[in-house]
Amino acid sequence: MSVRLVIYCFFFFYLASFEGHGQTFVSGKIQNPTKPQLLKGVNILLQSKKDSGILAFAVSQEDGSFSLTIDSSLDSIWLVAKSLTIENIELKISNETQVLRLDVKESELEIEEFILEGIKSPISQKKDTLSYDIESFKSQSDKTLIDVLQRLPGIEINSNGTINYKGEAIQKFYIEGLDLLEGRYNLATQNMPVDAVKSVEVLENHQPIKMLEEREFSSKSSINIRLKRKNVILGRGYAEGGFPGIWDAKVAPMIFSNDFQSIVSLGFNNAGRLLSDEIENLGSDSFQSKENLQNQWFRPSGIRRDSGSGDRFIFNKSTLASVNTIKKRSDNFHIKTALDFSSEDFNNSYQVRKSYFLESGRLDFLESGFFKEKRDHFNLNVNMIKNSSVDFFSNQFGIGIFNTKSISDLVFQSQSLDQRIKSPDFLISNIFKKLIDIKSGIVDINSTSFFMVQSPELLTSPPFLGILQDSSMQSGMSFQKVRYLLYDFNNSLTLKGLRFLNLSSSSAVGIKARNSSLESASFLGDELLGFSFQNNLTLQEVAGLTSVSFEKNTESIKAKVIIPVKYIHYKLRDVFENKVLDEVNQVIIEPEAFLNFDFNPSLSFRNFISRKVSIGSLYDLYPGQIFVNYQTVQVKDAPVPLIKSNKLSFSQNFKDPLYSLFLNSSISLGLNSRNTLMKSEVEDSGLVRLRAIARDNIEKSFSWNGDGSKYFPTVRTTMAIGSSYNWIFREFAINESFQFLNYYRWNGFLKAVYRKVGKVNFELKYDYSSIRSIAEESFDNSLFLSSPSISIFVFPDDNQNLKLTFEALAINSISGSSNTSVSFLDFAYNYKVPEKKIEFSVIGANLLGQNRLTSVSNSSFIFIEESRVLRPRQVTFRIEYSF
Amino acid sequence: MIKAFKQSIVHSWLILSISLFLQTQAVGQKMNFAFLYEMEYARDKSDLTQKEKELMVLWVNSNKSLFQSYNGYLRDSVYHSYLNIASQIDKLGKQAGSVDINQMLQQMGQFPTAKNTYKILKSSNDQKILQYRKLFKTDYYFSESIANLNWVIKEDTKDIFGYTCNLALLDYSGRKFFAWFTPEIPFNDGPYIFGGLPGLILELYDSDCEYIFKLVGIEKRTIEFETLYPKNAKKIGRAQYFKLEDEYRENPFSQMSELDASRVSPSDAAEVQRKLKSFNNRLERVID
Repeated sequence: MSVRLVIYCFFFFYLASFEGHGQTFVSGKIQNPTKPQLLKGVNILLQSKKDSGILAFAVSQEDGSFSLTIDSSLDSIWLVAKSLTIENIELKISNETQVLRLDVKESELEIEEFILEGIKSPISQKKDTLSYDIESFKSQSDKTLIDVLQRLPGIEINSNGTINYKGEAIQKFYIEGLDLLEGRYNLATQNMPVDAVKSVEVLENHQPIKMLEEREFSSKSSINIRLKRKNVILGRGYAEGGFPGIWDAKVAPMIFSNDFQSIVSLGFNNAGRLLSDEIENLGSDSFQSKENLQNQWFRPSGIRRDSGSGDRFIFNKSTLASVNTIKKRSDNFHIKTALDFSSEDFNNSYQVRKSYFLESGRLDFLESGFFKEKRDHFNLNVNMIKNSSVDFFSNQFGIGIFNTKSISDLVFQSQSLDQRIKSPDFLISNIFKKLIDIKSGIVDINSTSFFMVQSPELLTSPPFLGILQDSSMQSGMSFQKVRYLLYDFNNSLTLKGLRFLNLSSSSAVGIKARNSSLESASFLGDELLGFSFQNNLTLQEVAGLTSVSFEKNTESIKAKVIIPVKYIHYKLRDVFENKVLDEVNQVIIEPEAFLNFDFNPSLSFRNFISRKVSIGSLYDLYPGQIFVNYQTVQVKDAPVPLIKSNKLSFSQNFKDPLYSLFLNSSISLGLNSRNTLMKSEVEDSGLVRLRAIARDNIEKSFSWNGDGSKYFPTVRTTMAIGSSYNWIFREFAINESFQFLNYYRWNGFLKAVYRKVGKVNFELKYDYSSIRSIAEESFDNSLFLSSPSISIFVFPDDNQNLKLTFEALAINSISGSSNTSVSFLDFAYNYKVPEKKIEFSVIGANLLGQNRLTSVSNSSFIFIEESRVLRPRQVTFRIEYSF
Repeated sequence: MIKAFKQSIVHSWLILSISLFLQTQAVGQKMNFAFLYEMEYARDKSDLTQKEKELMVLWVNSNKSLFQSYNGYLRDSVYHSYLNIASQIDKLGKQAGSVDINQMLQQMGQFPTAKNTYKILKSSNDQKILQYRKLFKTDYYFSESIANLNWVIKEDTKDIFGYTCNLALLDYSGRKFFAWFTPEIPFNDGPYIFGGLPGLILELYDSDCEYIFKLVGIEKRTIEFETLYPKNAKKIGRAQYFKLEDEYRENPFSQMSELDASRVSPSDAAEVQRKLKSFNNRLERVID
């Protein structure tokens, strides 16, 4: 007798012995001699009826065995065996303990497929349009469209208002299908009441040109705003006022109808807010950023608005009037106009102490005064578009007039000075595009033309320091004019719809031509100064670009190499002497490589290496001296500047969220080589001559950043610590002495944050920095900054919030004349009337009444202490309403 | 002795061959059933009348099943399809560059973000339930046994989509659950962690109706099962995970570096905290 038989018998008698207690044991095996895979996972049910009354169930094991126990008084029961892969077995068996062998046949069970309709989501998808139902996303604290936009999944808003969808800037912003604002959509997002919006649609892979819809894939996205009501007037406004004499008011009415749309924004304030930010063009088209081509030829004395931290320093009057319309002439033909006027008027009292550390000793200069600047900007754009499935034509004509005037009324080394700068800039642009359908594809004709003239003037009384011959000239004045002209043409003809080796997505080609001219002249009184103070130059630039990229992506490794290749031709000509001063023909390769590696879920590495080459423009190339301000004269009589930058960076991240521990570290190395060096010559009078000279020089840099944080659950507090270290080594030239600068900056911080959900949160921070600049035998300057701060946030309920902030700054230096400290206390309280479109705020700033803030820098041989008057203690009340 | 040894070798080889064969079948067989469930749940204890819905899917193959948000699956599948393209390009030694990350992100963005990001993997081989859960950027997983689900089958029956369903009751983590399953669909599976009945669960709810799962669709799909759940998840105890999750709801910054946390404005942080804290009505009412 085999062992197996003995075991079966044993089990049979063992099981049979329980029969008298009312329990029945049914066991057995599923069998199929040819397909063993059928044996496993068969559901075996014992039922009181053929199709119901489950008494017990089991699932067969890998060898097909099963066993069940029931406690039933029935005489007979049903055994049912089912699985996806066998034919059903239904057996009527006696209710007694028994061992069964079930032979099964292979069969595939058909299960009918179905889907119920009507499962609704707040986000719906129809082809390439993703629609967000705003009601599902908005919260009570949302006022304008931008508040809810930044909460929509996949959408991010940058600090300047740019809308990104999945990490890329959107290309069009439509309202009810019309592109009214052409990239200046801050006007809509910052003014449109959120209650007026029904839904936000993301148009993925959106091809704004209908002719290309079926022919050219677009990977870019656009946004379309759907309103709750059609043919509607809506808008938003607020008024704020308070002590001492602060006012701020704005109204933004809007009209939306089937064939006409308009957004108007009118505002003014003296509360430190710059309304011109609202009309910034955020379009993804690079040509839109034509304002970036504007050079700043003169530097006003004093401290400008953008060199401080925020609104604390800005004494301003800001005005904005913007009218934007679009008229639908037919289904496919639109005319758009945008007319803007903005004016930013600001002023500040200041004091600047500059110490120059020379081999021969130290020279100190003190400048103090009152700085006033007014920037006016007028802009007109007219755009005609025909956009149908068989025809596309677009022409956009724009005029921009910028007029900046500044007055610096100052005292330099006990001498009173008056410096005035006028910077009128005039820009005209025209962008033309036409598509022609041919059988094999589409011909795309593009022509962009851009013209700019800059005519800045600098006037000082008494004359520029560099041309003062004797004290009798003290009562005179000096004057300088610059005229810069720029013509930029970009014409292309492209045959679309063709592919080359199936690699079109990874390569790019482009060509650009640009002509610029520079004329400058300086006068002492009415007398024209000599050739050394004059320029008459032209620069011709032609550039072609092509680029290829390769990438590799796996679950743990991401690597990418990009290799752009440029050909650049430069020709610099002196018109006075009718000769070529410099000519450059160069092929430039600028490779970049990324390698990201996730070692395990806790540890990851990010690495980057790149080489960039940049070439100067006419702004960096002039042999005649140009005064930058009354004290500084600049000449760039050197070869075309060529800067080769090599960068290598490694970063490491460790996280263990289980213990709420996070550590980050990054190391960066830089090596820049240049063919020119700016040499400074500082005279006892305070005159600074900056001269670009031909000299190969290098700059090395090293930086390390590290931080770590740990959350302590028992006290609901995160503790963080961080540090950074920077070192720069470079050559500098001052007064015929060529030296090497070692610059070190170390920063450390400690932070504790309590963020428990509830009524009160707080944040404590202490930040410390030390900065040291050394040049052997000339200077060794050190600077120490410490800054403690505390913020308390109170949330009494969903309709109210209060923020209280205290921050202080202390500066100590062994080189500067002053050790300063300043401290601020601010608060903001906001109350929203429940279920209404109205809210109130009380805002208090600089409650400790601090007058002045001094900032210090010692990045080179110049040690600078800048002191500015702060906005006084102020409390304002604000009311906002949307309609 | 030698004969016994030889028999044992042959026996082992046979078992190995069969198991390898079965494994090959399982790997090769990509056709799965997708059971779509609508999950309706009250997320906030302070307002149990406020219900949310999400479409969930139960993928079932011969020995495994995975339950997840359907939108979560759609987003993941875009990612994996691009990953496949990239790996094919590498294998063929061709020049890369045709994998467009922006395009991938845009395609992922077509689908709404999953409200419930957990993934529940049940394996009939080892009778284990693995729960994959994500807090901020970290994937965790913990396991429990299918055998711990002590169902009591009742006589009651009802018809759902033409299938005769039987009622089964279960006490699980402080709630009493009612499951309607049908032996006509012979999968011992169901939504969430529930399963182990002699048929698919078509409807399941707790006695307070705070969690309701209803079958809304059945499809056959070809999917790559192994790509459905994270491979680099961190192992954690069940109770420890839920403690960590409680802490996260109380303070989401507990799972963030201070560098990330400081980028969030205090009023936004308060809003996030309020929202997270309203997710306080977990299915697991009692954690052992």
